[in-house]
Amino acid sequence: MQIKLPSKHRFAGAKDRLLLLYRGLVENHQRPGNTVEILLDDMLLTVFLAGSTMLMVISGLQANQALLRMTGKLIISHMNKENS
Amino acid sequence: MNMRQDISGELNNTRCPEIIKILSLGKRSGRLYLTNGSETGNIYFTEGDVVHAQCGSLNGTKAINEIAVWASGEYRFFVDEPSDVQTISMSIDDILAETTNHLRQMDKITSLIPSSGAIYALETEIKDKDIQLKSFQWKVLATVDGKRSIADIAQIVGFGVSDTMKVFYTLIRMGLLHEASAQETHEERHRIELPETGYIISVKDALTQAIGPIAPFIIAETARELGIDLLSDSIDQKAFLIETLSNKIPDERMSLKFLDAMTDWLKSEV
Repeated sequence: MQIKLPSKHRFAGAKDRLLLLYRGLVENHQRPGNTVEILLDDMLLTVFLAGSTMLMVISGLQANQALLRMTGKLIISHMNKENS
Repeated sequence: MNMRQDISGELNNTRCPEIIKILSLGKRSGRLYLTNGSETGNIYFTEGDVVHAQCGSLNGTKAINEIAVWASGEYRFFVDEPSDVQTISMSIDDILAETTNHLRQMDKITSLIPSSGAIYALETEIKDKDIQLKSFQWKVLATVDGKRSIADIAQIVGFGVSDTMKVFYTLIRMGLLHEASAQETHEERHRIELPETGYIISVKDALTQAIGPIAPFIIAETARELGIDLLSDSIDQKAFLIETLSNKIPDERMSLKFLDAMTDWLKSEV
């Protein structure tokens, strides 16, 4: 199932911040395979980077973070392999 | 963003002295928590001044020096968590000058001693006829057995890793110690016995495929470093151990293969 939100949806305000994050992490540094964790109050934003792809996962702090990081690392590596 | 935990990051990007400088310039009050994976430390600030630091059994500037050496790990600043005690009453400039001096000494030491994981054995033939040792040097020397690493010995003598490395540097220069050869540690590695549980057998098989017969030693060593009980049923602990082991596999392709196999195994357990 795919949901597309209109550009004027209230979530669209996050676009600038997401672009900044993408440029800061992917375009400026090119650190394939890196994992970045950002604490958002009682949630964690985990960012996986490979090539020009950035995969973001938001999870509760009670989630098994090691398992999440391992799964994310595998997904981003598969995505990167398919893109190259 | 939660204001109680608003400064955090990795030590391979920003080292401890830089973080101290930033918090001091910002006149921050609270607790800076740092970890290098196996050890943890806390540095307390009051309106930008460092008032207390603690790392293992060390306090004050000795604790800061210990933490300053960490080149990997994480840090997080907790606002409004003051210290009940004061062990430091130096200015930030003096603290940073002492830390810089300590780091310079450590650079010299690491040119001779590769890491705190290095293992040394007693030299059987001593060139000098007269050797004088101070009591703290003897305390360290008496624990050297060709099996324990410098980090292990630091825990036994309670000096902190940096200070123990300094003592090792002196003892090596005096010709009393030599690095234990692979032959000397070989028998120890083969004596490693891991629990025969389904989980450990799977980890051992997958890791042996990735890095060869040294796998059981690496598993035992990593579990010890992380303080993980290999017989624990906790999925969190199992996942943490697997993730850490995958990071120790130098070949990226083999590391992903190991992760793939072990992630499938873990998911079948959840």
